[in-house]
Amino acid sequence: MGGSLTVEIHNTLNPLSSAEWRALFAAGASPDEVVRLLRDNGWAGASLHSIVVRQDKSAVALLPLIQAGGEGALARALRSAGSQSRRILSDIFGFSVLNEAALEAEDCLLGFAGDCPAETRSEARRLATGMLEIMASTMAITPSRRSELREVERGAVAVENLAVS
Amino acid sequence: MTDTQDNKTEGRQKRIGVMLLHGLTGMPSEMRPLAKHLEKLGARVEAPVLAGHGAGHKELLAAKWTDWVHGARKTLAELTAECDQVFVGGLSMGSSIASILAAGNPKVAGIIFLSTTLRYDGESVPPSYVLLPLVDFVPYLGELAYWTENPPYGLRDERLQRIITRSIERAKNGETNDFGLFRTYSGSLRQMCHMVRVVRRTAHKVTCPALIIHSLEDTLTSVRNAAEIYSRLGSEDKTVVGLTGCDHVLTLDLRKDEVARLVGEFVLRVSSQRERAGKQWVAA
Repeated sequence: MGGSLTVEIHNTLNPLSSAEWRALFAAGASPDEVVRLLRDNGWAGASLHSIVVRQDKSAVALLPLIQAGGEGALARALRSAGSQSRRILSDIFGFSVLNEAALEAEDCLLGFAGDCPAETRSEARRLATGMLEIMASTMAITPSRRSELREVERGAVAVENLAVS
Repeated sequence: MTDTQDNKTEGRQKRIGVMLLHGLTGMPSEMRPLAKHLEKLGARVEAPVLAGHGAGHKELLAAKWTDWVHGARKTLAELTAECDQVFVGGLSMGSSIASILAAGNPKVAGIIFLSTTLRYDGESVPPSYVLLPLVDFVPYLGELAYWTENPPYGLRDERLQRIITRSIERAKNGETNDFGLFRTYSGSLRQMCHMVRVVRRTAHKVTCPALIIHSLEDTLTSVRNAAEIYSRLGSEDKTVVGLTGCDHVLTLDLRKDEVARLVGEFVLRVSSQRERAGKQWVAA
């Protein structure tokens, strides 16, 4: 067993090198394809994040996230996307929707390093999903926080619901 | 990038300044290991004593949150006048002050949040904390009610816990020591709450790169504080790093070397990115 695990949240879909990404999502689409798909489908309001778990300095797991710009925007965009687009997305994302802090996520949506021992894998999964729940509950709109979030929205970021791979 | 050669701009030494702010009831000494690491990398580091700190409770209670910000702003102005690029960072309440200073300030190249404290929601916080707003209605309470820090003092390092316990025993009741004060009066806590409102209101104006480090095992402020500041910041380049094996006082605890490494890498990365962007702009 190696050193301590750390968990990171990044404001980008893929903060890793291409080699590291391939190690985690061996058979999946590249993040560039996903970004292009988002752009082509007019998801201008979407912001991209990722949760990375590292052991020492090596990435052992990555959970990509899409924060949708408006309620239902994600579902509408999925419907309008063609079959090829859906294939690219489903390589990486299962598209559960986080709304009002209700979390739906599956283990298969996390990319793991192939050589990651079972014990580390289990701990990495715990850390990543724990951080995801915290992000979800922090970003979810509730009546008491609505006015504050509106102010943030004017600044740049729209926080209405969170779509999660 | 530790080579001084990399820190040169057009034949002269590029000067990176970093201001590090301690927490409520703390002292600049809690930033020392981090400051030393940044100095080794060639940065100039300033760690001012915040207003009302470095003396006793009476002095701290006399200070308003605006005094803390004002003093730090003064140090930042001095640093900005002497350095090409300036970073601000803080531990716990110090990070809130850093956020206020960075909001809408294009001179700040980057910001470092260590153990961000927007609310005390850790397991070692007494339940009576919820009564804090009463201080606004009965100001007298601010000087009467207090919260005494007990072991582990926001630390996992048992050796350091023992040193602090001995230091407290030696110090006279209520007086400061090398590690600051270990009794926090509700009046000062309430000042911090007022400041946090401003932090929440202005965080979207912080647009410089941001590094947020928080312990996943923080007994004073949970990692939710880090997630909240991450979601509120207007920065495009922002990262949260959650560490295990340490507690609230990240700069002194068992993973202080890791914290210093992360901060050092962040400062050097952002600094060289800005330098490149600046050169491109001149060339255009």
